[in-house]
Amino acid sequence: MSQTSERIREPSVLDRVDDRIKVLCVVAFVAAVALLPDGAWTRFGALAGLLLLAYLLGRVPLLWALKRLPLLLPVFLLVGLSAWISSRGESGMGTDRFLSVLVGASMSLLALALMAYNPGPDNMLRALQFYFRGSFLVTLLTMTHRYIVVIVAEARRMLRARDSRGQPPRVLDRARVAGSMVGYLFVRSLQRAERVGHAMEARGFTGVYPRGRVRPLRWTQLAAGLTFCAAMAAVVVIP
Amino acid sequence: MPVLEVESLEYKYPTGVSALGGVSLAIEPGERVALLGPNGAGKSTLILHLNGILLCQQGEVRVDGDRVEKRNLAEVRRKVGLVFPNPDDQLFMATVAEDVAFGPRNMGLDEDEVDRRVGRALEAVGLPGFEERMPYHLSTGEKKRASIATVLVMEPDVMVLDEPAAGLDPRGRKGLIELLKGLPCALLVATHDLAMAREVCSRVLILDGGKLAADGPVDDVLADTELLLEHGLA
Ligand SMILES: Nc1ncnc2c1ncn2[C@@H]1O[C@H](COP(=O)(O)OP(=O)(O)OP(=O)(O)O)[C@@H](O)[C@H]1O
Ligand SMILES: [Mg+2]
Repeated sequence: MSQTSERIREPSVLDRVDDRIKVLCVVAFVAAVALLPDGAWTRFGALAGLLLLAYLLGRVPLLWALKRLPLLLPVFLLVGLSAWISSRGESGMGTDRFLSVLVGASMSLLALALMAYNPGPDNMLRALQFYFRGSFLVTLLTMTHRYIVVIVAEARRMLRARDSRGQPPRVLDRARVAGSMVGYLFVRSLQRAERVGHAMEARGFTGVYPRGRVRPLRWTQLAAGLTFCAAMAAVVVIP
Repeated sequence: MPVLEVESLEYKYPTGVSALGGVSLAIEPGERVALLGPNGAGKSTLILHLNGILLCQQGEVRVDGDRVEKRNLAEVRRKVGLVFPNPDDQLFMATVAEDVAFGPRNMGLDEDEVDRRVGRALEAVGLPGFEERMPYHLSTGEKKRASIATVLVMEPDVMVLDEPAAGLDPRGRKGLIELLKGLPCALLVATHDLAMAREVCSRVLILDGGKLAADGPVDDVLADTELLLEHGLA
């Protein structure tokens, strides 16, 4: 998680767009995808093309993003299941609906993956804080991100310590080790979370991330963002 | 008037472990005090009370004469800065500059003042130019310095450090000692490093089993081999 923000890359066209505008555009994009009528394949195609363009402009490795698609597996299963259930009734869920949901979900996820790559989670959260200053949800997201980084780091250390001592030969023992590691990881993460919490409190944190310097949003950027939103609305509304 | 006073402080963890059994002490402005004691003596528990992370169950803590309570926590945390033993707990923002700015921003300072202070604090701990570095990728010594900067930047009256020398190599340790000697505020340093205590502090407290076992000038206490042996410090 932390790696994404450290990747050193040549500045791309996407880097010239204000992070806050990127977030705005992604939200508009996801909303448009969700609101498209079922089976409006031309428009789905147009939006997918737009997404691909953004990937190209940002020089985002597509493979990196595609690896994130399996996250959608639960959605696929759920949609598949409900499609199957409703297909047994009169008002069966058509193939169009089924496919539209799947395609839409995949495109939304790829749009979010793009955000995770550029501007990266930290900057994305900062952009969200610009729009929703002091909102509980944004603080929660920020905390979650912070703690996931901590837990992943903790898990890595534990795995390394385990590997350096070798694996028990028997599969059953290995499973037992894995089980107790998960429990231990949980306890350690909680303890760590508590200590990080203390350190934050000790410096006057009361639940709302301080905002820091707010760069003024350039009007050209804002205009571009709003134009994009309008375009998205048009794609949905115009038949 | 002392900047920091602790009176008959007792604390029992929810697990039933009694960590502090009536501790009293006072620290004068600008004073440098070492807090010694074996593992499990209660040093860290005491420290967590000093700026209200833990609130007193019995007894009280006073900062500038004011009793530490929920209502004055913001004030207390500005005056008493804690540096935690593990810098990975202390540093949690994306860049060093953001991390150092975290406290002053919580204090509601304006951004120009925040920038000035961040620059000064990083300079003071010997990390100028580290603004945009990622905290997780610093060396242990650099992380220690950065943690100190995150507290120094709040310009506290007292800085409390829990095991600041842990994990440092000899040069890092020497650098830390010089850094601590040069700090402008009062210091309370919990440590197992007697030589460091001797160099940095003028007064020593020994905590053992949740009770103060000694309180005196550094040369007297550290010369008392019997006392040190009794409390597992020599
Ligand atoms: N979160 C906790 N829950 C329950 N008991 C705790 C907790 N933290 C500390 N203790 C217990 O309280 C006592 C004092 O611990 P404390 O961490 O304050 O000691 P310390 O002097 O800082 O030791 P060290 O030198 O090892 O850091 C110990 O017996 C410890 O086991
Ligand atoms: Mg301790």
